[in-house]
Amino acid sequence: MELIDYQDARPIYEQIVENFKMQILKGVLQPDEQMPSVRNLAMELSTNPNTIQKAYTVLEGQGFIYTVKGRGNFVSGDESLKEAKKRELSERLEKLFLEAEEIGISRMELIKNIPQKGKS
Amino acid sequence: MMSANLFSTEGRKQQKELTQRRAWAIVISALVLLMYYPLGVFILVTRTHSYGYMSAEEKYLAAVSAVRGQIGIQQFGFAIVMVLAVLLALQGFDFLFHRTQLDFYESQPVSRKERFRNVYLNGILIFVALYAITMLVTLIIAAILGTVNIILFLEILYEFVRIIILFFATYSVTVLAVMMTGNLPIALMMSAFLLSIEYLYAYVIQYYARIFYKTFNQTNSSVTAIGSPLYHAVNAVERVSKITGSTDGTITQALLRQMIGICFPGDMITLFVALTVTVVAWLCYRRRKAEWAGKSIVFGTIRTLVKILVAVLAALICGILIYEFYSRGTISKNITRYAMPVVITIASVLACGTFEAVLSFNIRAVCRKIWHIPVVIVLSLLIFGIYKNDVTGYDRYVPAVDRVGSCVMYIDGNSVNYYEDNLKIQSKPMTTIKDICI
Amino acid sequence: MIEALNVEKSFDKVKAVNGVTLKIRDGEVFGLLGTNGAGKSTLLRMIAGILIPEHGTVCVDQMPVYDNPKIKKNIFFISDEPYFFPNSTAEEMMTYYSNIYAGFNTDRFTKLCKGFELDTTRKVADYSKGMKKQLAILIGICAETRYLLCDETFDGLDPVVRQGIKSLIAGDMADRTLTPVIASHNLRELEDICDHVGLLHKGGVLLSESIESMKLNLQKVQCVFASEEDMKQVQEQLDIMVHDVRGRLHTYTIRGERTQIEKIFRSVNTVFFEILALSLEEIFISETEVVGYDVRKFILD
Repeated sequence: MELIDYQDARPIYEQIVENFKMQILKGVLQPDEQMPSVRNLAMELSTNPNTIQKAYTVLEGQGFIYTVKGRGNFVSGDESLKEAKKRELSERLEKLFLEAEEIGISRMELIKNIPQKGKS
Repeated sequence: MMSANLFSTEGRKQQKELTQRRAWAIVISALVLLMYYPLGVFILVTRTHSYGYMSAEEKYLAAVSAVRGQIGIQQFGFAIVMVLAVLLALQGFDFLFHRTQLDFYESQPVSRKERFRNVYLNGILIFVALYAITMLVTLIIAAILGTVNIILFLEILYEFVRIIILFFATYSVTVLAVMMTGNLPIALMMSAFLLSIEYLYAYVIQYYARIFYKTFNQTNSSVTAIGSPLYHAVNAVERVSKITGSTDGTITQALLRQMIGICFPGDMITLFVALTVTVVAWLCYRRRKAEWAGKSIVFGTIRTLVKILVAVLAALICGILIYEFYSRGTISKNITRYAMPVVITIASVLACGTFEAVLSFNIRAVCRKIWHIPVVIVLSLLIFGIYKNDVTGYDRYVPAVDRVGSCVMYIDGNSVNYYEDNLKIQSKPMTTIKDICI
Repeated sequence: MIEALNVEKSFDKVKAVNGVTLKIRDGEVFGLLGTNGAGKSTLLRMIAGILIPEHGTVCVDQMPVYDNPKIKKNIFFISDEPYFFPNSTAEEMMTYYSNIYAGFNTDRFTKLCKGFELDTTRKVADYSKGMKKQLAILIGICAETRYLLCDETFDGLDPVVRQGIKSLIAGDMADRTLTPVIASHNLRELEDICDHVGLLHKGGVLLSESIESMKLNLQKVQCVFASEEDMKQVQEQLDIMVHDVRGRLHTYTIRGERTQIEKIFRSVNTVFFEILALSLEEIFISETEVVGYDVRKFILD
């Protein structure tokens, strides 16, 4: 876990959320893997545990993790994770499309412009 | 952290802990007490063994006198005890003068009542313990040297209690001084003030009586200051010395009873003062706020009162001084009529300014609170006026010159101070009634 | 919960705290920000029970604090100038404190001192100023009280020690109910650990908000409009706090939620627009400029 950038305008919990999302999307954290406890992560980052808790709540709300009472937080299983990933990537894509439209490039144009990298 | 009373384990623990932190004060007190009492007695008694010119009987009496002089009712050691009382009181409550210490203590879960009680008792316990041990050692030494008899033992016992009462009173007064002030030097001055102000006023007032009252008799008049433990301590020693001075050193039971009789009222008053002052000190502590650390005198009304009392006293003393410097001979009438009031007025102004400067540790403060100056001037001149013009009619028994039918002069060496200035009697021929009745 | 209600306190006719009302919730890190003389140290000392308010009440768990040992048991105050008994060692101070605070964890204290390299057998008077501060903080943490009041505690700590202390506090907050209240004149010290910040100035509260809501409710937007019309249209719909123009580039500080504002800007023609990062400093400056104070001078240490 990288250190938090205090100069960043985004609230700290958002940074933590983004960071974990990245790790999950890239597969650094596997489905059903246990997340660090709120306490340990707070101590590791030297930050407020409330902030960690908030980050975990957001991640749970977006479907990236689930909570087992008494045991902790875990990365979502394959199926739900796929949904969450799909949602996340779609949102990002939408942002890029909007940006393109602002400068006059239509959606279709952009898609056609993307070379197809090797099919999975 | 609630302690039920002094004797519970909790109370003892707190006392022990407080004591451990006051080690240096304890060591100094112990050293002073041990040097003055046991060591002092030892030296003084063994010294009498070398009085070659005395018989064995006389030597014995001298030895007993020496012991009595150190630890009997006439001892001057009471001064040491008073100093230790002031020291222990100031050191114990010193934390009230420092913001950092108050941050420390007042944020802790200990009630203010408990803190006051613990610190207050700690000082007393330290002294009583040290003093008891010291006295025991002294008594043993005196006994070994063969100077103790039952009467002496009783006298020493009574004095032991007296000294503790005196300590208690001086300690309480100093604690009260601490409660009313915000830093150490001012607290010291305040305790000196409280212990001696009544005594000083009594002296100064008597001096004015002596200057202005024609029929005032110095030798039979003594100064009294009922509220001052210092006064009672000094007074007891003086009066007891008078009745034992004429004896050869042996104290009989009857004499001891007389001595105790002289001391007892003063001791009771001192005890009463000690108890009352403790209550007042506690009440002041209750009202005391942490942010007053560092101030001079924390209660405004008390500050003004003290200032007025000190300034008036200073002004009156200056009046006395100018009288003493210039009053010999025929100048005295003019001195008293003109110079004294002027000097008193000037001294009032200076005293007020000095007081402000000293209290604030700042020379520029002399100009503060100028409205006190007229008050001080009026009060000092009032007192001066009362004595100069004999407002109370002290001399009203002296008839006017034209009402005197006849008079006779009786000159005797002892009547020097009886009627005003007898230099006039010696310096000119006297033939008429008018010459004699000044 | 700590609650100050209309608290007033004067020193020699100078009003240090003038009608302050604040609520500090359990389990949150609360920052009291303000210059020296703003009243934050005074307020903190009233919460600690050292000073007594002239008007209003300061209550912890619904009970007034002053001369109330029952409540003070749960509060530990770390002064900006910590006091230690002359000639005492850290160990002796630990013994003293463990007798005062029932929950004091002596084993933990010994371990932590070793970890922070403080020699507990050495006289505290020989410690450097920074070490004394460290010692005071460790004592405060090991007292394991529910409330930890820190007066300018993190000032002057080196970054490594600072991170260590923050970790400890973070751990304690997760393990038990700990509510730290930190008074400081340095915004940077507060913003990385506090949930909620109260800004005091000249004895009054200028604002009291959670850091999150502050960051979420204020946005900075840079934009170049296609036309005057577009600009007017956007400005009508927005709660604009600051507006800066340089050539064709407009910079706004707007009160509102990010997506809302985005929507509004998208609804008109812009050459470009961008929602930018607003630092906490800028947030403070905008919030307080509106009220008329130039806080730039004193919060940016």
